[in-house]
Amino acid sequence: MKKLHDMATLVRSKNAGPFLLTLDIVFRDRPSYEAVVKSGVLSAKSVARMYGVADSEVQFFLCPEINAIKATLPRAVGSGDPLDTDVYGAQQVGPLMNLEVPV
Amino acid sequence: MSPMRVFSPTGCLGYGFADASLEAGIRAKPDFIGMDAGSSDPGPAYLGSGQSFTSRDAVARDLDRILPMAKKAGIPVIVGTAGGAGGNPHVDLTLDIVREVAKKRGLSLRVAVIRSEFSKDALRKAFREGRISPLPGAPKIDEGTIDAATRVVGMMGIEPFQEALARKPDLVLAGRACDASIFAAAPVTQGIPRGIALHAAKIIQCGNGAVERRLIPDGMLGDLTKDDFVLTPLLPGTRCTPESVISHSLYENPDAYLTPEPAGTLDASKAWYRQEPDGISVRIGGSLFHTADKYTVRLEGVELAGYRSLVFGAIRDTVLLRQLDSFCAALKEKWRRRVAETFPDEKGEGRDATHALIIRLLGVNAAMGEREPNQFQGHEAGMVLEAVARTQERAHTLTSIGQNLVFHAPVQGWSGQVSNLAFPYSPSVLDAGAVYRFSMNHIIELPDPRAPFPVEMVAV
Repeated sequence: MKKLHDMATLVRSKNAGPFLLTLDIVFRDRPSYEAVVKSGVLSAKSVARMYGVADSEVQFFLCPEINAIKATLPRAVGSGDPLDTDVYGAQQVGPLMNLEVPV
Repeated sequence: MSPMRVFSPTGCLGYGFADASLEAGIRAKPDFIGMDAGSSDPGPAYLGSGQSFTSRDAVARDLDRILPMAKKAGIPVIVGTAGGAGGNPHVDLTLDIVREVAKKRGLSLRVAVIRSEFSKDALRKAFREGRISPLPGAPKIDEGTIDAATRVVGMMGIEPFQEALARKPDLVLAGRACDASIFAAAPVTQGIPRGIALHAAKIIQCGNGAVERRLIPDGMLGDLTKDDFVLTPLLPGTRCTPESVISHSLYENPDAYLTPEPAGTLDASKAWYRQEPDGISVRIGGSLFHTADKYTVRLEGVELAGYRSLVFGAIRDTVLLRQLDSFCAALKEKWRRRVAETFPDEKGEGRDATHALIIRLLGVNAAMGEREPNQFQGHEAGMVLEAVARTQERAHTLTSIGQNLVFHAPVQGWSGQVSNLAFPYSPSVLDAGAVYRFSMNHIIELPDPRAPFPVEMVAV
């Protein structure tokens, strides 16, 4: 088992507009990317579970040309709303970084 | 059709650049200088309050260097989303800075000002005609949402910029704009295909954001032809690679390959990226544009949520830290009840709530809130109590009530008078001003892409 953050050069969360959050993971190399893709631990379904949203609300992208995976999901509340915790959506990466990858 | 050279001195007007890079960019004889000056990313407060998230002095500093050089070179400067949010006060604020710089430098400038605020009448009419629809994640709206909005701007496409540029201005100062419109308008007028023009624009609007390691905010040149475009960063020691450019295209975009624009969709899924022989530039081609049936622009609207006061303290009592959940639940209930008893006119829940009482725990789940999967472990936690209410004074009072309750609230296991928080500040209750929320993130169908974005020539 390896942690996702040990296999990546970038694990990032950020707003994509005021109501969406997008997660970008760029892997160190092709084998790391392929190991994660093949393991199936990262998918629209797993992202939905991690962030407590419905599967259908997650857009999921494989970007093999740069060994990256991207996922986009709704924010819990709009950016800057009185109940918001993260105006830029910049620190929503904790559970993602610590994802266990069987390698 | 002749090629076009585009210069983006910085990712955001006011973020600065190396003077040598600006000089190098001007020496390269670009056809124009473009600059994005805003974003919705810093949140709804700026569109609501009319203030900018960029500092006046920093914007003045950038314009003071750029405007005289551009005027001397005889090339237009194009600024989009002026003043950080692109509303009328933001455009006026930037125009004010331009006047200041022009006076100081003895410049006379022809400025094309493009406004982007939508009137409530226009929005109500469009809503009734079914021309407004929500983007993913946006709240449901009705006419009440439009009535309650503090300010609504539309993100203009390339057409208003094309109209402004046809008047041969020294400076285009535009309100809220799609980032790509700022840089794609002139190339599209020149006959560069929209796929190439918009893809180049989308990357270069970030200045040198697409380089491998962005040491400081700085400039980028783009060379566009009908077949492809080349990106070249100006700061020595930095370079673009195919990977750095593709990786940048993921940033802040919901989709990895498709970007909706007013007239259709930019499609980079078939794009190719090649390192140029100089080792610092990247050539990109194969970018497509799919024209949509309807022309739509994105609307951003905000409404006042109230006024915020807050108090911050730190908890170091290990007994209390072991019962944070139950402690906070009891505190919240007691706080809620005390507010209701003190102010019969206050309502804490439902659609017509007049205030919100919020407890945040730093070191526990401050970043992720209810999405945080981990249990608290640690020797210290921060606590913020805040109230958002109809006036600043009331928010202050509600927060003070919370502070009084939390300080001596009983802790299971202790008896006698406890004092639960380390308050670093005196006064402890801080007034944080107006709080806004995004109430609209919709698209509006426009029969005429230019009509809502009037161009006005101003002599400075």
